[in-house]
Amino acid sequence: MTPISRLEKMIPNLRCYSRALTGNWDLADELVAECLRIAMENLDVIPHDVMRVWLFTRLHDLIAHMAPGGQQRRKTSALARGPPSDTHVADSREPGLQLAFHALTFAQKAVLFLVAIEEFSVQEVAIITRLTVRNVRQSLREALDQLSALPLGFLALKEGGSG
Amino acid sequence: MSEQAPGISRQQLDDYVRGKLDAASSGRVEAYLADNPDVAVQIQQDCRVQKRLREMFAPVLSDPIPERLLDILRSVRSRVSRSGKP
Repeated sequence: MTPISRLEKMIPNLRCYSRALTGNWDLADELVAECLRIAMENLDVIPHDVMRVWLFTRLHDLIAHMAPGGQQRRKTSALARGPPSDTHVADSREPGLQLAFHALTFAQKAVLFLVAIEEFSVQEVAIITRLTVRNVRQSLREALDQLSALPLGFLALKEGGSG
Repeated sequence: MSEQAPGISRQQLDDYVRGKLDAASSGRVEAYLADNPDVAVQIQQDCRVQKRLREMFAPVLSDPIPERLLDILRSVRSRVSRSGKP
């Protein structure tokens, strides 16, 4: 598989991450496009074994810099917190979970997504998000606790096949 | 997940959840979880949340890729083939 083919294979995952954090399809794809351009310019120097981490790190930086004031204001920016501007950011059969996910902070969403969806290790997530491993673990714990606290055993009911 | 048995690290618990441990290490973690039901319940709950998230995002992952994103790759492909690089 060529580096370009590997890159192409990762586009859906990059789009999904971008949508999860921005809550906006158009903006998400713009940022993925920019990430791909950067990747193409650096294709010869990206080590193949860390291409996924490299791509997610670039994309994470692009998304984070969209927040007004940069890193210091990530947690309180409109981009970092609050409901998505597009209503169908993910599976619409999961409105409760979707709202709860989007109510998380920027860091919590990023860490949870990278662990749960991309199955990165906490060390890899620390590289991508530029957090310490300790802060990655803390954000992950907080995020999981918040989603586990969905009312009326939402998750358990779903597990039982009611939804 | 605030306490670990001797020989069971936080990292091993993480790796267990991610299914990255070999059979012997998994067995040790499972023995630890059997002795620590609170941790076992939390891990089970964490796994359940993560599974629901994977299901929630699955449709996004299977969305068709827009042409304009593929065009970015194609433009470089054609440039590479013109320059004679493999």
